[in-house]
Amino acid sequence: MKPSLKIEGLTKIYASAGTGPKGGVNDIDVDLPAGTFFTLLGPSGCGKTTTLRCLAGLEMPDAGRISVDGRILFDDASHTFVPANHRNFGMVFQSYAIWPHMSVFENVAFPLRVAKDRKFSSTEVKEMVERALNTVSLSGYGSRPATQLSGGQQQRVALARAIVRQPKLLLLDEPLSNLDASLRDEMCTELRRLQRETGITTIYVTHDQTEALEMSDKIAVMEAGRVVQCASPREIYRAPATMFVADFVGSTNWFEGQVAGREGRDLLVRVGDGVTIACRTDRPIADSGTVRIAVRPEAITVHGDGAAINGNGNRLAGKIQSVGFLGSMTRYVIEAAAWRCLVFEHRDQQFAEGMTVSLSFAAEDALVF
Amino acid sequence: MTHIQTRNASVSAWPRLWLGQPLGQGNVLAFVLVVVLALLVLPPLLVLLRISFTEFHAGFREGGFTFQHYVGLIQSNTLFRSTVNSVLFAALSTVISLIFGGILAWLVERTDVRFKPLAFLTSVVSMGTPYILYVTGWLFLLGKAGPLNRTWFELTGSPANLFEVNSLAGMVLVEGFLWSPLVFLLLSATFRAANAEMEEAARMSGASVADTILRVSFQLARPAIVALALFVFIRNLEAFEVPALVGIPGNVSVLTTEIYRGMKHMPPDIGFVSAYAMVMVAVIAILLHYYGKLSDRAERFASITGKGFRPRPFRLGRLRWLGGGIILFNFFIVLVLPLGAIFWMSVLPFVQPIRPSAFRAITWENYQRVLTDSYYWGLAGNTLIVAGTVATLVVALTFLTGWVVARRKRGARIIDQLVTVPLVFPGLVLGIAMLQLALRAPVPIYGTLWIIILGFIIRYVPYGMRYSFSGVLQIHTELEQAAAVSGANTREMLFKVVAPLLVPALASGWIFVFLIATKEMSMPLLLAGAQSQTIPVAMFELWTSGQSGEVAALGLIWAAAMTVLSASFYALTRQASAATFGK
Repeated sequence: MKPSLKIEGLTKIYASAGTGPKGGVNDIDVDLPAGTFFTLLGPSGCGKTTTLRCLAGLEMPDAGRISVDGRILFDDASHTFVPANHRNFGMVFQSYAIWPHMSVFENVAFPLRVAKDRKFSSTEVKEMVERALNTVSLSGYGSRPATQLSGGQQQRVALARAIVRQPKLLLLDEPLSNLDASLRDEMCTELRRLQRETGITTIYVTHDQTEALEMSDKIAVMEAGRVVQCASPREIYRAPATMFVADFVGSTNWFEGQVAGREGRDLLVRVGDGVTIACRTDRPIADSGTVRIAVRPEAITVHGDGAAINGNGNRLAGKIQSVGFLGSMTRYVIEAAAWRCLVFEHRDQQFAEGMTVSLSFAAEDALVF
Repeated sequence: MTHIQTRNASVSAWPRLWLGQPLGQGNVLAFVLVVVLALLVLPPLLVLLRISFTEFHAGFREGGFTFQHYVGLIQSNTLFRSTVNSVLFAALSTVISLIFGGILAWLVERTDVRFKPLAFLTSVVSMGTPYILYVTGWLFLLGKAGPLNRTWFELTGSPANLFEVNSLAGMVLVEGFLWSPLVFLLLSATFRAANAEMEEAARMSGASVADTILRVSFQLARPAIVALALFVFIRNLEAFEVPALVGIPGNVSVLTTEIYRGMKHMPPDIGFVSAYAMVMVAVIAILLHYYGKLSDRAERFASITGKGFRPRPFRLGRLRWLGGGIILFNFFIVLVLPLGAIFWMSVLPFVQPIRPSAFRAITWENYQRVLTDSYYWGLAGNTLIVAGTVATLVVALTFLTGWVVARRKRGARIIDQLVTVPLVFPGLVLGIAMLQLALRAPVPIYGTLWIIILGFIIRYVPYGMRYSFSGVLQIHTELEQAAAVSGANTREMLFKVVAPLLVPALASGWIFVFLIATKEMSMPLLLAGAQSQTIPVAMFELWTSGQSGEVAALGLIWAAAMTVLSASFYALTRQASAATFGK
């Protein structure tokens, strides 16, 4: 398939007086097929919004190349810079940026009214705005003043405005961060449905890993201005490329120990007195030295002391430190070989604080860094 | 439940105040504030109202009720002409200062224009400079001996001036320039608080820069601009310095100068003047009513801006130099030229055109006289005492009223209304009212600094209120509730929690009131006795008696000192949010 969005070597450094570079992005490469829901994920200040704004044309990158559907929008080599208003992208801002001096209808119709490439007749405008409002389930709200909208409605209007002109790219800058939890879940589903229906390539910026995992086809995890891993949500979660990714996406239990040798495909790591963890890894790792091991909380199973354990994975003795009942599951904090482990158990089994238990997890679930 | 209710009812049945709530610290505070405010703001209004309906016999003996002053007013041939002049003068100079200050504010706050610091320098210096000093500078520049008319004379040899400054046009120009720095400061607060994402959303929707400015930026700022325009219009209606210094010599009379003329007439027809003043007060009250509505609307617009605010300026591209040119032009027109003209006047024994022969006459004598004569030191002392006392008392009073109103405590509505009453007085009219009160006062305060201080307190309570009110709004109520839960009573909560948090807002308010009290001429003009003159009043008298050199030297020294203060005010308000920016 023809690539829809291609970013090569995008660099934008913010200099601050005296103290040198202060954030920005460095050498970003992204290549997306059309129709992808793509998420830029990372902590605040990692450069995800800067990347989005460079893409939008609201910032002038220092170097690199951006093209959409083969059309070059920015290229420092040939001094090409297409201004934001000529890119035909839709964008939803963090604050929604709904103009208070216009009605809902006029807000949504604005991109059609200022369009330079073609004139839209008033019936066309009416039809297209109705359709956009319908898509975001706001039909009938057209005549409302923008000042009389709830947060969720403002966001829907912002979405309708962004998609009304069938943009090549839809840019979403943390659109859910100003909504309360229940509304956020609802809008999450809505956004995904809308993107599927319209098929618009969507770039989504968030610091919320749950949103990112749930909605995206592809996620780029960013750290300090660089993309550290760009992959499907499953891969990001199952096979994080760096310790930062493992830590930032999902919860992780960390063990640290010395490499003690190999056993078949597994690397053996001693994490305490007489306690060894077998890790299956494809990565070339030296047969000695200190490594860190990451294990997801839900990969660990808790067994009563002395209970028979099937299979031949890793086994650790532990002591329950605290128990938290969360309804759909139970969260245990367990001390095992001097490490604190977080474990999520869905089974109805009950362990009390202070009980001695066994932990088991497969070698495949132990990731080495 | 029932038991508790009965208990409450029986408690409240005993020490009920006029508001129907049990007597508590809050109610005592509200009661005291209402009484103090009413005693401050109502007497000037009532005394003018009474005099305007009172018959006077020879020797100022008061007679009975009469409509004759109002009838005389309608029959007089000056009312219509001066009203038309006033409205024209106020409207046109409003337009000039809005265009000047507005474009400047937008350029500085929302674009990558050059020379931004110059725009701030201009407004900081003008905050500290007495209006009368600027006006004299302009009178020289545009006057007969000024460079404009002089060059015209050299070129054509015609004795007629190219531009007659003592005309309505001259008044409009000078007043417009005078107000543009304040318009700049207020509108830059509006533009600074604007959510840049609103403009970026328009750009992303495909709007060009021009479309974005016209359809979004300007429309969003429009309510604030319209409200500000009405505010400046009202202040221009009340203006006295420019009409007196520029208009009177050219026989252009406006409402305020007509009132002044009536007072200076011997013997003053105080009933007629009061009727005149009451008409002005009524008109201004109506305009203020609309101003309140407009600024409410502006705030509603402002309040829906979002969280994700980061100021991101427009790139002007090739127009960047044009923008820089506009800022330089403003810098020269509003700051360099008038101050240069004043400096020129200050080093000459008498006013002369700028020409080589005049350079031989340059002397520092005016400065020497100003710095050594105890008369001038006395003036400075008077002005500092008045401004310092007024600022301190206004801030102290409005700290309490601001809190009561912002927190909608008992009595908030009536206090809020009382606080806004002084806004209806033009400075000159308040001066007349205070003069009449002083003449009738049981204590001898006529001609002392005290009557000026009292007048200024009344006049500036609304300004102080703006600072404390918006300051309190920014303090989360839970901070106060936490103090109450910890066992603090209202007084402890106010002085140990609210006051320390309000320090930045109150300090800004203090300096603002201090500065305008040192600048204002029209209110103390009629009140000052021989020993109680303030600097602007003395400058007015020196100027009208032809001592321009000393006026200029005194004014420059004073303006330099006040600019230091004004710069600290500016630094403080930059830190505080845009909302605290008073008007």
